[in-house]
Amino acid sequence: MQRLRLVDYVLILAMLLLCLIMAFPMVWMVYSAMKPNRLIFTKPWALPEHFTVEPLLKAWQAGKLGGYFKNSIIVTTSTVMGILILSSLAAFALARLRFQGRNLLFGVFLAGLIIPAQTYVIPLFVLLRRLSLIDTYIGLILPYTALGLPMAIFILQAFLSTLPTELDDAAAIDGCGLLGTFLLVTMPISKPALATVAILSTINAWNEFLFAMLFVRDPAMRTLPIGLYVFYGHYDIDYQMLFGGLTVATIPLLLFYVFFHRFIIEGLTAGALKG
Amino acid sequence: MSHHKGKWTRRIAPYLFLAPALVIFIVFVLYPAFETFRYSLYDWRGFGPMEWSGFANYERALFNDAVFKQAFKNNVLYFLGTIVSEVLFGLLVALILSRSLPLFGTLRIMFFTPMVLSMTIIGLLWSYVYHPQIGPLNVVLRSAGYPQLTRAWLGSAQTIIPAVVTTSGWTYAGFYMLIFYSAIKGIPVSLLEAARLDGAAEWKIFLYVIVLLLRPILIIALLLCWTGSFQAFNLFWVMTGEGGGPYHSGEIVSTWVMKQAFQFSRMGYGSALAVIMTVVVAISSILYMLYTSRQSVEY
Repeated sequence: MQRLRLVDYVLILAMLLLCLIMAFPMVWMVYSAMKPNRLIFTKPWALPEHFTVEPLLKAWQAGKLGGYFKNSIIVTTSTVMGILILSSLAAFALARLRFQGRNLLFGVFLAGLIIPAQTYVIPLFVLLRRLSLIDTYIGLILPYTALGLPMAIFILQAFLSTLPTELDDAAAIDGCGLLGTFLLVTMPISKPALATVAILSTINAWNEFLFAMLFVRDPAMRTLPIGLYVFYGHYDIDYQMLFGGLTVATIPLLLFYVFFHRFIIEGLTAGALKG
Repeated sequence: MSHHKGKWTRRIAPYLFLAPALVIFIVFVLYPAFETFRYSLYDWRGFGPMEWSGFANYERALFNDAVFKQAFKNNVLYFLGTIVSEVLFGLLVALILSRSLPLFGTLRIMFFTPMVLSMTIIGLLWSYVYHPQIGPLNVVLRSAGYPQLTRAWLGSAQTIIPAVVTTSGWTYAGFYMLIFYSAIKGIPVSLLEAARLDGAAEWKIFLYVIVLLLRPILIIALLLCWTGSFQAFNLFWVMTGEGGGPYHSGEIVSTWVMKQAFQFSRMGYGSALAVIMTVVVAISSILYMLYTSRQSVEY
């Protein structure tokens, strides 16, 4: 056990205080959801008289959040599956196989890391309209997959490049074709990197706003972020309902973070360090 | 490598592995990105015939659109603000949290939490933090005896950008904290020990660490802030009432592009604005990278 000096205690206290201040908006959101509007106005600080989940359920029903959750789950899981399959196939070729134009093709995907979505969203909308994909799940899943591919390929390529080449040779000697090597040797070893990609893609697809706003006009097809945004417009005055809706939408993300924080931190910071 | 499958299959196999990803990426990202440039040369309302207009859209954007200018300025202000609220704040916290003290591991994880939330939730929540009546910020000011300082933070042209910058810092400081943290952990302990044995003061070691060893990360962080400023959309759209605020004081380029294209049905003009934004960001980023890489050679 190390001995702590006075300055250490001061630092610990200061950091604890900072974290509490920063956590306060979220804490305030949760307990305001359990207070009637009158108290939110007259006593903004006061804790609720009793903690119940009833207001959360009410907000869930009034905001039709169930339908938005369903849409978000369908779009997110399909997107993540799409990204995992396409990016692992591509990263395998880019990291493990030699062929002409490899660097160029890798560069094409990497360019996707820096092109802002605003750059291409207008023609993308026109394209989806021409394909009759507005107001469909596919109309979000395909663009989300394309949007997520560069980062996924970047992470997987970096991981696969670190594996020894003897691995492929051994698989070839055992009579595996390329597809066999990919499925039976490379993929099982890549589980940690695949998990990072899956979690990163889940967060991005679940939270995406711009495409979801532009490509979905039918209220029944809205994903959660848009549903919440519209909900806020309708309940501008009913604060309790609002905080209830926000709380319900935040809880799954926080639980997700509690369980997977190692992968999440790794995934979200992975892109930055290789500039 | 085995050859029993035949040379030809071997040769095209890599392209078969790449094809699905490449097709999706080209169709839904690259092709539309090129189309944006084509659209920008037309007058088009999103339906009906496209009318060729040459560089008229660009002329209008560069010389006749005061809001676009304002939006660009706001992007720059937002960028400058986030250098402090995200990067420098994150760096300061990283320098403290990189000490091995009890609780600091947990605090690092807590600090990162907002990164998981959607910008929509964050934007909505913070609209209420800044709320004139019920918002905690004004409540604190009032009960601390400064009622004259309270205001509608998102409703006044002076405070709207600083308010969004603060929220942005609340969200992203944890991200910068972690990349600085891993860089600090990567600094060899022997180096710091040697400096200490040489009798260097603790603050001098600190300064040395910041200026020299964290420089590459700082360079990347500033670039991320700059490109991130132009990728920002969701937070502004939600917090400033669809990217307006009073007299466009909360307008940024991306919100103005979306309004032009999808609310005013000026697809061609919106595309021209998007092209200008992309070109400015790309060229400035490349120049910055060239400049900083030449600087480090001079050491």
